[in-house]
Amino acid sequence: MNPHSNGERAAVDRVLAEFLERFPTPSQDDWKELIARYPEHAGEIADTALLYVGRTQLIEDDVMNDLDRGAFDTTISDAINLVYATANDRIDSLATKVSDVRGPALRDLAREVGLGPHVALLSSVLAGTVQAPIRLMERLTKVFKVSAFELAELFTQCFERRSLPAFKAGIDKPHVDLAVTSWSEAVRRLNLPPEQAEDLLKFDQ
Amino acid sequence: MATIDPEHERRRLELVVLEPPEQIRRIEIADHRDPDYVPSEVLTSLVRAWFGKSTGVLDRSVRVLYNRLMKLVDAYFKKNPNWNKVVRRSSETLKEATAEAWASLVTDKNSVSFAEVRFLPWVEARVLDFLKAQIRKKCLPNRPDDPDQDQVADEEQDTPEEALAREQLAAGLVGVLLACPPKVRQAVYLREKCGHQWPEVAKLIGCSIPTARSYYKQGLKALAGANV
Repeated sequence: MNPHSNGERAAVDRVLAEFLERFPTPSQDDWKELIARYPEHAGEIADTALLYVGRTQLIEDDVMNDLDRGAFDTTISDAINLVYATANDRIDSLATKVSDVRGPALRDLAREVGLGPHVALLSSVLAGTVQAPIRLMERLTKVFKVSAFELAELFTQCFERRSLPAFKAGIDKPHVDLAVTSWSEAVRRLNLPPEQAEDLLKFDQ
Repeated sequence: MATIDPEHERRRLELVVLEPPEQIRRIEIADHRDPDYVPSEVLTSLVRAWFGKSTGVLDRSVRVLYNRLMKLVDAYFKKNPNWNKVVRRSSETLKEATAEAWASLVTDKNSVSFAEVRFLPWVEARVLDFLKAQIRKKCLPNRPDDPDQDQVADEEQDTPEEALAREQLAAGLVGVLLACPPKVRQAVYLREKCGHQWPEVAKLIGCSIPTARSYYKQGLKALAGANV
């Protein structure tokens, strides 16, 4: 009836989380059915149900209430530190996925996201040196199954960590881009026929 | 598997291609009726992705999201005075409940957190987790006043006293019950709210029928003593 171990507690929590996800405002019958399905967790379910009785739900307006400034000021540092102290391996695993896209896979990806033969342009986007336009970003998030934030953060990190070329004496003046090249500028530099350039510029609209 | 609202997906893409100063301006909009307001679900995705670490966007987002979370936790406590029996409403309680919810958000290893899908129900679920943890702390499973020895004759019909409790419960005495020992409140809940027969109540609680009835009567006493 009462979960004693952490494992049992985690199991009850999972059951309840899934249930409340399915039924955000459960009826009495829903609770009863849940107890019938998980009689071994009846006590925990009953407690949760009791907390739900007569409960007033949150509404979006509540976010505009007054803040307990004292409570906020004394805990915000811990909140920020926790974010940075928690390992974020999502970007690392995404980086591996993206760096695996090379050669024929890169050409396939260019076709898949609608860039056709402009593989170099896609390569520059993946390396973070060219700003990904909104339509391309949308398609890439679907391909890699990640959020736009993760992809954008990866591109930023790639740009910041890019290796710089070693310059030797030559005719040209050495040049390093300090900022990410915009999509329209990158398209312009390709010197494409106007129709093709226009098609690519549509990715930014 | 939770899926992101397409509208939130659109807002993510919209935000990601903006320049950092404009991203920060939008993130700091406090009025949710503003068309540029960034929904908390989107902000959660941003924080979980560590987006804008080098541009200061992440730090601002963390502050704004934590601020919203604390306001919502506070609002939820205030809207539900029943829970005053479980926790004393104070700045310390607010800090503790918010910190627990925040830790749950930041350390969630699922590819999509429920907070990215529907933020308000997620906050409610975290506050309930906090309350349940408080209940567990207060009421250990085996209390010394275990009434297993009190063997009471089994009866199938509700007594007038029990019928009165039905009305009292409906009138909002949940808070009183929440302060009772686990088996007591569970007996009342299973009998009153779920309408289970005594054998079923006893089986679910894990005791004999007379004992279940005894727990139930203790609950009634608590309700009657509350004088509501």
